[in-house]
Amino acid sequence: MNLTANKITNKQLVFMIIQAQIGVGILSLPHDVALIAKQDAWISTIIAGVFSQAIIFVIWGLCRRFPDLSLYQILPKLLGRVFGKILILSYSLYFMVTGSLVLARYSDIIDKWILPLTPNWITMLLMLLTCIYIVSEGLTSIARFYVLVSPILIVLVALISYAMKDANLLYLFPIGEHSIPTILKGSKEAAFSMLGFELFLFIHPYVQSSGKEKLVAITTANMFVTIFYTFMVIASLIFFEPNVDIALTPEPLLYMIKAYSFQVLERTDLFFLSLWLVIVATSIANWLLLSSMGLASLVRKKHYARFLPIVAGIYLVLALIPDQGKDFERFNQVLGPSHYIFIVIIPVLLFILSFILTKKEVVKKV
Amino acid sequence: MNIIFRGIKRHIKKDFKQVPSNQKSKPFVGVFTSIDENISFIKNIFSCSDDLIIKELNVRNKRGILVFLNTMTDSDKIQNNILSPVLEANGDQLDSVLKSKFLKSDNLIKAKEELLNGSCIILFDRDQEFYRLEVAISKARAVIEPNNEQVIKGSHEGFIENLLINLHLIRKSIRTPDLIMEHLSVGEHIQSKLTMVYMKDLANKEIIKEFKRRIDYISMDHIPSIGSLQELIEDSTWSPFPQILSTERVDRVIGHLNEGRVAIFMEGSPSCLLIPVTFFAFFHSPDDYNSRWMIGTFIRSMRLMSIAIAVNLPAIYIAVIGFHFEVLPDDLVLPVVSSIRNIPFPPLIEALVMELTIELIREAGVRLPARIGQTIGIVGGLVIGDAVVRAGLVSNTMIVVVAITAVAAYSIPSTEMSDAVRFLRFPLMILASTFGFVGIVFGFMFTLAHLCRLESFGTPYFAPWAPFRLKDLKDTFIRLPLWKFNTRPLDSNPKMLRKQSLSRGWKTNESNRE
Repeated sequence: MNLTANKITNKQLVFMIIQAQIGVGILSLPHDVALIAKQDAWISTIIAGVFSQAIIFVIWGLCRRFPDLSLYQILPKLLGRVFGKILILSYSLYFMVTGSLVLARYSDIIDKWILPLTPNWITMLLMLLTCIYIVSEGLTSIARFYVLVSPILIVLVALISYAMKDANLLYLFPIGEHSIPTILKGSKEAAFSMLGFELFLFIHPYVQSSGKEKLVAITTANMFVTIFYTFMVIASLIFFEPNVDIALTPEPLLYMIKAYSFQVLERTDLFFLSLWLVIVATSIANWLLLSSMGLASLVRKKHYARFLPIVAGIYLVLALIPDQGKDFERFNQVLGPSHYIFIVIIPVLLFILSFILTKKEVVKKV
Repeated sequence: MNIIFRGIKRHIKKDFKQVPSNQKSKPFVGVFTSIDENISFIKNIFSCSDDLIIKELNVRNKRGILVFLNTMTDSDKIQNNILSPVLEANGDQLDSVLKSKFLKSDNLIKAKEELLNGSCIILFDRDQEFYRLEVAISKARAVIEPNNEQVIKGSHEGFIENLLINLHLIRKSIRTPDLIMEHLSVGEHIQSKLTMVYMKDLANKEIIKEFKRRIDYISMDHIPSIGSLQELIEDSTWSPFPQILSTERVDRVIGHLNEGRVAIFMEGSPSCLLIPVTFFAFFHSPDDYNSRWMIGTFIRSMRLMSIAIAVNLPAIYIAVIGFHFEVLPDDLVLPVVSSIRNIPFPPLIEALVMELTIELIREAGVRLPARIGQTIGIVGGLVIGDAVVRAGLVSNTMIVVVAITAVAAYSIPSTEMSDAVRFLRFPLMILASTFGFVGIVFGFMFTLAHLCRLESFGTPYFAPWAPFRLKDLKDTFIRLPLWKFNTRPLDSNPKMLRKQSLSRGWKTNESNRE
């Protein structure tokens, strides 16, 4: 990649991280968290946000020591070539699996809500083609696109807010009824939906700003996402009774706005889903970008665009394996620990290791 | 083996190596001492074409010839400007007449070019130089308002096919030494004159350099029109969207020059190319600035809404009818159902037939003389408006949708952008008929991603939306009051961002005084 031509600004970084974090999870997150933490689900969501903020600090610290290297370049530097390459490959595989799970869940929801007769692989293919097109040109155009579609989040919030006229705030009480471990368990569920900030590890060399500004940028993004998710969770908690109703509604937000009709528009959920598609596309595009960047750095190719079709093919195959909701659970169980390994443990270890080995990129001060 | 391979590769590469064509040195042929040699040389160049006139001209016993192409020159001008002064001059006056009226040159290749441009050439025996004077016929049509870009208020001047007059119109309005005009020529065999106009203190050097670089690579033997030039220097030809604005309006060009853009004129073309432009420049009309800003904002936002309608409405209709009937409110279901109940075709076919019919009517109307054009309009209108519905081929609602779409598409001020928008709705219609709303959203994402990727001479095409710049939104789909425009838009990378300080300062001053 051409380093000078492919830069993004700090503001664009904020939106990139936001779009990476908010993804397919919006629809099911309130359901998943509320199943465990009931009316305290919103506390779990906030805790998840705090938790991801902690990881963000570590990630930022690591990037700070290597301001011009992405994680794919840091790995071989810290761990040696062979071990570094193994890790690059496993990162790339991890992103493929995560991305294809997102893809599978997306097509599952489309199948359930909009296009029940269309074969899943067609909707997946459509999504992948669009994502390849979004990603292929380079970081600058990706960032532009993400900023451009961000107002959709506001529309989503507005749609949900409209439904709040029938909400019952009393459903939130008693606050803190559940034990701390339960709430923490709930935040584990929420944390999975907040993933995406790891994108920073890979794009930070291309951001034109100082280290501190970058931290402010990702923190802003994470705060926005936490607030956004918390709002969604609270909205579904006060709309549906947390103990019984929410368990029955796997996509609470959709059920919520399905009930409303406007003068010229009925079935608002279809409208909501259409906008949600864009949000999903940006997060799948992110995984695509990350995994193909990994493959590219594995074979030392400069540009990742050539790998996009291959990676997309792997996504399609992987996403077609799980067939039902049950398989998602199993998929998630396998993926759960790997999230910890790749997002938490490895960056932390690398961070510590960089101190022990006192390896640091020599920064050219001009 | 490998070495041989590499050698071959290098050789092949060399063969196709692109050399900027204009960098070849200009040929030079000196004027011969003998006049007969000169005559035969010129005759040879023009292959004794019948419009090449060579006349003997003996002034004070010095043998000379007068050479011109009678198809390019004005005989009155020759008589008044050349023959009478030269023949009437006596004695030493001749030299001073020659010096004051004519330009000297010694390259016969240059003489050829000048003859083709409508000059007259005088050669004297035993002179190593020749004298030339332009006496071209100027048959320029009047400066009138261009038909395709009319305004209600404001200047009614438009460019014409004469380069010099076009440049005059620009210079007349921008009387500053900062306005630079650079002549270039393109075409290997038949050269076309180009003029690049820009403001020295505003236009970005990089863009000028980039433009010249692209022009240098053009190695066509003839550039037929400014449209072909546009295609040769455009950033991406794989796009329905035009990345260079072409306009025939003088005031529009002047406005853009003042924002630091570069204008390109071509001899024989009434349109002017402007680089770099953004997507939104195609939706601006001088009328927006001449009317009150609220009205301007309203009309401009209507125009931008019209793209959304023109691109999406038929697709949304198809999606609703084909997939998501439940989206319609209860009261609307009945009229829609009753209108589509007896239609034998799926909505996509219905829509395609109608949209294509409209396109055909437009195409038929464009080239026909006005009198027959009316007939087409009436027949087309009847077919679209009434007969199709009565025959039960197309539903009433479809007619409404198609009509609104057509009106929306034609309300875009730039023809090229209007074409692009009308073209875009066909893929969207197909997507909508296969995937419903999902298809539309994907089509829309594709379009947006495409717009984010496009660049026009190094500046992002979809600015100031992508990359987002709040300050520049004041002049995109809204138009804030002019006194708010304190900076120039960033997309043209002007050298001087500042445009004005308090232009309505009189108001604050006055209240201070009291």
